[in-house]
Amino acid sequence: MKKLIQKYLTLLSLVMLMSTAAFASDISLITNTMHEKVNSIMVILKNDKLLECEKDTQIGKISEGLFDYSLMSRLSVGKKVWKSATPEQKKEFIEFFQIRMKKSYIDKTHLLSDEKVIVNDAVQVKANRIHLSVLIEGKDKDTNITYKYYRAKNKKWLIYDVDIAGISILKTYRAQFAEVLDGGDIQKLINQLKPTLS
Amino acid sequence: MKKILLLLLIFTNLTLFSAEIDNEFLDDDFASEFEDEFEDEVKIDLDPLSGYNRVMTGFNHSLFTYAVFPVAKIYVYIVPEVVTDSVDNFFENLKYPVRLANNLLQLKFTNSLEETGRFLLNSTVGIVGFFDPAEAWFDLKQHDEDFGQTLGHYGVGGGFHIVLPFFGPSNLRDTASLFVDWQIDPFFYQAGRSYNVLTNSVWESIALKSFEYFNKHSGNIEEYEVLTKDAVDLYPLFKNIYEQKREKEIAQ
Repeated sequence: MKKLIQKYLTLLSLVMLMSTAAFASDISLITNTMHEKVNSIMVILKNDKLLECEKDTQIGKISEGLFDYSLMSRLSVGKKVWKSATPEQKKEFIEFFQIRMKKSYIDKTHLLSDEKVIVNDAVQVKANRIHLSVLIEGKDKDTNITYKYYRAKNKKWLIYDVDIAGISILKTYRAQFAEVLDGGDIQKLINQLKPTLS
Repeated sequence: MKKILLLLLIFTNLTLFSAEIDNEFLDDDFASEFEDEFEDEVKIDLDPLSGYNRVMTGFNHSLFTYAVFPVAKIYVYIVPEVVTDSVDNFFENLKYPVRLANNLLQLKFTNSLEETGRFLLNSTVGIVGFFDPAEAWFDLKQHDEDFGQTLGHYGVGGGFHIVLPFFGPSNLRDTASLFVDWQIDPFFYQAGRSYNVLTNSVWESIALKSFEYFNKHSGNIEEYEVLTKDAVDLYPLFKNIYEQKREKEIAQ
């Protein structure tokens, strides 16, 4: 009997160990991916032979697959507004919001061209949340950027929010959208987000 | 005994299994889990001055874009960064009384000591505060605290939002607190006060304060432009950034 218990306990601890090992690999995967992406972005930013718009497209390509734009869209307007939107409106909103977010992200990376960027190790904050902080060493002050990942349905870790110097980007969008929506219809916001040709 | 073991086995497997289901997220649970993280931001707070605030936000934005930034760009181009940094150090060093008082009011004694060490070192070895040997040599850090943070520390809420001319976003608590901090700010002038140290009139103190602000932020034009470029609506954007920033500062 004792042996049986022992066997069972070893088995149990083995299972536990394996599940934490799975997380450890997720964490190092996230850290390494960010490392690679940051490094390639820095190479592009420092490449004087590229035109600004060429840099933009390449940075855009590198950042592909990191963010969950549809979740971010949903969170940016809040549950109530999202529920009341039609599927077409949702689709259109995600599309426009995504264009805006991508553009804003690329614009912001241009500020980094002269800075030193340090990618820290990702930290598991909850079972389904990982935070990865990146330190931008500026000339007179350092800025901390935190990428917030969640585990999506397909077990992939995706970013749903970014904190810059402790300021949540998603929260700034929520504040702006709430003002535009003013308790009303999402269509007004969609019209405002519609990219102009300029 | 075997029965117990079997039960244990079933139980642990059950919990492992249910943890697996949790991660699968049923759609509604999933959304509400995120809502907990963001919910309080969606509702618009009481904003009695929103009309004025919007006008002032627009005014400040135009003032910066068309009047301040062109000058600042020339200023940054001509004046070396070492100089703008030193000027900033000088101003910051003299605001020591404000930081000390508010650190003490929040019972942050280690920070108060560190601040005092900084003031003594930088005022002497750092040549009246133009240099910062305290941080460079002894790793003594500045601990910014103002009366708004002190009130926040003791649970006083921000109140409604107020946009100040030139200085930008603030709220009721922080604007009212300015008058408290000014009492011990060596740059501030008050008629009839026996300890006006550096300025001889209210206008002089406003001019000095504005110059300090200008010097401090003259290097941040690019950041401002990137930030405002993709704004959907400037007023709620600045307001939200200010409130998030203050919340973080108070928590520190």
